[in-house]
Amino acid sequence: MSVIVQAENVSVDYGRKNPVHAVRNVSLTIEENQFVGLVGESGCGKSTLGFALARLERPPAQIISGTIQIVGQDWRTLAAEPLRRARWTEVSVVLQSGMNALNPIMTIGAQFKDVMEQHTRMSPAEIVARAETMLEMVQIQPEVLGRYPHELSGGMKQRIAIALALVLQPKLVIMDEPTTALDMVVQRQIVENLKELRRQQAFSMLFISHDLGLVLELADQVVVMYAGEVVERQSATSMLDHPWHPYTRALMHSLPDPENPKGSYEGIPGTPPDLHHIPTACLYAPRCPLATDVCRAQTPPLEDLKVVDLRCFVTREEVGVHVGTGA
Amino acid sequence: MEYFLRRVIFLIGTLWVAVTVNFFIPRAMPGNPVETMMARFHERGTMSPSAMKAITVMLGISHGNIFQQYGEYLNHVVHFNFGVSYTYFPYSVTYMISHALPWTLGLVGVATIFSFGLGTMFGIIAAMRRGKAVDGSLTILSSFTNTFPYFWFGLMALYFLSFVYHWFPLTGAYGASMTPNLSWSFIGSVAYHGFLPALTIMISSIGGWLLGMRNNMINALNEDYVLLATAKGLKPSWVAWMYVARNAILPNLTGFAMALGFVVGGSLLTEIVFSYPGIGYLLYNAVVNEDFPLMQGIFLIIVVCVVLANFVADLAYVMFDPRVRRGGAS
Ligand SMILES: Nc1ncnc2c1ncn2[C@@H]1O[C@H](COP(=O)(O)OP(=O)(O)OP(=O)(O)O)[C@@H](O)[C@H]1O
Ligand SMILES: [Mg+2]
Repeated sequence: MSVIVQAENVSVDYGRKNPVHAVRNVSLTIEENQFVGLVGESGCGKSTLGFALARLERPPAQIISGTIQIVGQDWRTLAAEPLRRARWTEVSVVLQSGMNALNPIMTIGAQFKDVMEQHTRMSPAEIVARAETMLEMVQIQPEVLGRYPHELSGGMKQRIAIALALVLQPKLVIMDEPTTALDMVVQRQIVENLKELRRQQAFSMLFISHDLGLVLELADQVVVMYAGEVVERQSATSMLDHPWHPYTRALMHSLPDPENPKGSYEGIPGTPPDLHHIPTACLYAPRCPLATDVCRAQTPPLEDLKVVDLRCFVTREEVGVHVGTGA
Repeated sequence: MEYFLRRVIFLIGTLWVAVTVNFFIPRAMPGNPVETMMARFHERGTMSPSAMKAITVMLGISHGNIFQQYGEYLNHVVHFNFGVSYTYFPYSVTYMISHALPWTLGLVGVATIFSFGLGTMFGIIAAMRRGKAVDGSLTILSSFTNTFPYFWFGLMALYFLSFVYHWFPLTGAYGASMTPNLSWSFIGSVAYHGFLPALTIMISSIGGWLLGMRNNMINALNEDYVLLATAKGLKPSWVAWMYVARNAILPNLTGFAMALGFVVGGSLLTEIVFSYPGIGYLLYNAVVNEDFPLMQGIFLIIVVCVVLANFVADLAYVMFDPRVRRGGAS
């Protein structure tokens, strides 16, 4: 399998004076056709990381270190014009639902057309045909091409945004909370659409969500972020059986219980730390039921423990036992 | 269509109110127009009572009750008949206005269109280069000219460029020895005479357009669809125009249509400073001479222009903003 994205030690700050260290030393690999899920509480830096990878960070955000290799090119140092040409043909994005990602004064058709015109040599007829095919893939009538965004429902707009993201058959699609602002029924439709699309077209995905359940359902590999850092990374199937980091476990616990779906959605007690000053300690320790003195005095590294990448002094021992017994 | 119909009804209603107010205001004012007129003739020599009677009839001053007067007035208005000017007797008000209007429309209209076009263009440039030197100098310059008393600028220009250095003429819309025709030398003379007044109007208004457009652009740049357009790898000029500028210009179109409405009435000081024979200058003379019919006629023209411009502004919004176009009126 070839590697599509290879990001190493990416750090992003907001502001220069007294910066917020929103993302710190994150490394991420996404392989061909792999769906990677990125989860964590609100404010943990998921969007910041996702936008930085696509080089869509906006001031005051600033990538202060790291490399971002995408299909063999370093997007961090790529000049403006080659970067522009690589956009959408290699990496496309779907913004959070409810954001107005579509231009209100252009028809849907025109917003499919401009990107195809500027990146391919397709004829006008081919462009229309391709746009219609894409809409069909997300179950939307081709007539919609002549409509304006304000004439469509939120769910339709989001499916159109997904179709638009796949129109040039990019290597990677970054989706930032694509279903968050939609109601449960529409959210379900979109998740089914995504699974179906995966069967029809080959692409990798970085799926950003605060909903661990959704990520476990869609992704092959799950990356858990806490306070700007990766704290755990493993395959979705093994995470379902063994969430290692206490934070991941807490996220699991806060999922709605399938046996008792009406049961209250429990948040994790406590609040994430202030990211202006990063202490020498495990950042999760103040909220962690398993925290020891070591956790409060040293920063745990992200360790490759074969079955999982984990940043925890306490549960790393459990992994050792688990691997040792071969269970 | 229903939207259009509603707008037309609204337009007619507004015009009726304006016309009616225009009827009552002079009648509520102290003094009798005929006496004013007579007083003016008396200054030139005594008149016989029969001559006075003849003039009263000729001026079309009716003696019916207020309703008859109002009916007569409406009838006159729809025929563009506003009576005879006291000051420019025996010329009619309509004649005077129709000779002043083209100058104002030409001077202020052209200046307003240029000012809007250039201001918008520089606003786009400033916003796309925000934070850079171009943006800084354009913004500072605009904030400065925007707060400038423009008649003062007009007076300075007139004093130095016309009076001291004789580069430009002091008064009028064309050379005193010329008669209006369509020859190049006449057109050249008109452009030469119109240059300073037009410059004064433009300098006083261009900054507003620039700052407004820059502001709208910067707001539009933060929109999600602009972020997506960048992500799509579209050409920067395409993004700047189709995604940012076209959205940013929408609120300004209304302002522009309104500005066109104020073209007729809004240049009073400039026309006075440059003795430019337009509506503003005519109104000034009408006021100075207590020429009620002329004032009434000019006010009516000004109000009608503003109301029509409002109507056009609404239609322009419908043309350019699909959200209003299909969603009906909001
Ligand atoms: N413009 C900004 N200026 C300063 N700090 C910012 C800015 N935008 C985000 N941050 C900070 O960066 C951190 C990460 O924000 P980010 O939006 O990436 O979080 P997220 O994980 O996507 O959260 P959510 O689930 O709410 O979208 C947060 O702590 C936030 O306070
Ligand atoms: Mg986010």
